[in-house]
Amino acid sequence: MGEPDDDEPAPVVRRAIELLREQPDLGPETERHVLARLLTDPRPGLPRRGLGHLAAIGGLALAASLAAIGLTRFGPGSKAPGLREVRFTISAAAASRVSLVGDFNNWNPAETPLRRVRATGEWSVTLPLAPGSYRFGFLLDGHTWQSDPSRPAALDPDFGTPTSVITVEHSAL
Amino acid sequence: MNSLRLLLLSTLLVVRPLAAQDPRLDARLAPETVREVQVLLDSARIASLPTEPLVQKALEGRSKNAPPPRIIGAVRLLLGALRDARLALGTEATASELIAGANALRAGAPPATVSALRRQRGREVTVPLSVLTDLVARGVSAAAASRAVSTMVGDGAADRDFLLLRTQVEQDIRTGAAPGSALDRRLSGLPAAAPPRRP
Amino acid sequence: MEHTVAALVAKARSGDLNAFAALMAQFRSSFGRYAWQMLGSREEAEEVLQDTFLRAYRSLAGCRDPGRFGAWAFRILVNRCRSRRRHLVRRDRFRAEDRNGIESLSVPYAEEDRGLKEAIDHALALLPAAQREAFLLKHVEGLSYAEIAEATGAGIPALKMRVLRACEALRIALQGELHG
Repeated sequence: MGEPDDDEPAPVVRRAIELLREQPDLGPETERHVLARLLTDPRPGLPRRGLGHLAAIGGLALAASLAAIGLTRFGPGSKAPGLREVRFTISAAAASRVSLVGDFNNWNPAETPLRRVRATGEWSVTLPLAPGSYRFGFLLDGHTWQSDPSRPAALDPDFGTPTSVITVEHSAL
Repeated sequence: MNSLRLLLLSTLLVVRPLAAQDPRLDARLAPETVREVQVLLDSARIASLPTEPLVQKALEGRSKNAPPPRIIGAVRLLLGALRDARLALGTEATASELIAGANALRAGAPPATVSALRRQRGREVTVPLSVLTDLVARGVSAAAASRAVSTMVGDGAADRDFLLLRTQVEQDIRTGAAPGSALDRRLSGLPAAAPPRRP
Repeated sequence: MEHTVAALVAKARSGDLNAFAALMAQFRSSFGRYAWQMLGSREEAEEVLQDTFLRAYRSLAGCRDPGRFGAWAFRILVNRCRSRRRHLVRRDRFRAEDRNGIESLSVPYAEEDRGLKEAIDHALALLPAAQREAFLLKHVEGLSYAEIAEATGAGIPALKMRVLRACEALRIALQGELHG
């Protein structure tokens, strides 16, 4: 690929170029992240088709990893492939408002309010979540933290408040 | 081969804004706190460690009205755990593995165990490490959980085997079994013991 | 090869993510290497690479010559790297000495090459950004001057001068490193 008026670099620079070309690959994670983003972040104007024939393209490792993150399966009621609808409930009869706060909503107390579902004081919300582990808690009336008794407690509360962990698995176990 | 667990954090690495500071921090934390957290994020980046868990830790502290020194302390602790995970898991470890490794180390898994898991399996260990942490969260001792996961890695267990073990142990604990006993029974292939009678 | 890239681009344009995955697999090494060498950090390179591919997918309609997707996408990559560098420089975190640390030691170079590789990384970091861009695109990524001009927006004569100056600066910085 030399062009007519190229000067040949000095030997030490040629050696440098050889070494620079040997820089290791970043790995296939980039593609997985990009595909996951494209599938879960719809934008107008670009159609998307699924990945049913991914293995045929020849990236078996890529296919395996996409399958592992659930991108070839649909959970019932999922908003997008790979996401699973997860229901969070808590009993808090005395509270006037309850919100769900955690890693999945940037710990923003305003983002995910729960709805009171019955007079007994049960509150509930359903969220689509991608497979993974998340720390979370319930915030009652804007000031009282409560953990989820149906899920494991976080081992490192860090801030001294009750914190739970939920793990969302992809559909095939 | 690749992680089932902690995918959201990996995905969040994609969606994190590339503009100057992270606007999530700017919007919620005092400027001095943001500056201190940014220093820690920069250290993480230079060391090729994932930064999203650190951002989430800072946001968690804010939402819990923790004083700034406590927030910075928690972020620093987590950064330390990620560094330790990098040392244990090596330069090939993915972001998901590092996060799972940091959690496992904080749960009490010995660093030597974490290293050995990676070496022995020869491929990604995000799921085994995550299951180790979850077992400890359910009341299994760190030593027992580490032993169990090491044994399974040695036996060539697949990711789904670890997840199945975790599900089974959780079920047994919910029906009244002691965590350590539940783990032992499931590892040895025995079905769940009958729940203990309550007086 | 041209044919394959053009066909993949056409499929990707109609929403075929399989095809886009294949395109990414083909260009990932080259783009990632360039980003790593421009930014000095693996994590920065990964972020910029992901951003580049996302933008490339979303603006595929603008790739007028599908057979030359690589050069077209390189322009996006060059711009993302520039943007990221500006941010890092503004934050005063992007110093030449930072690049000498963990990044160059984490690659499995042979023992006799490690010293040279560190010296190369350091010398590259000291080049003005425009020279470093031109040098990497020309000699490491193998783009033609016409392609580099498209990717960087600079004229060919200016690019040739930058490459010459970069080579000279590297020669001076590295003399004494090459043994035997």
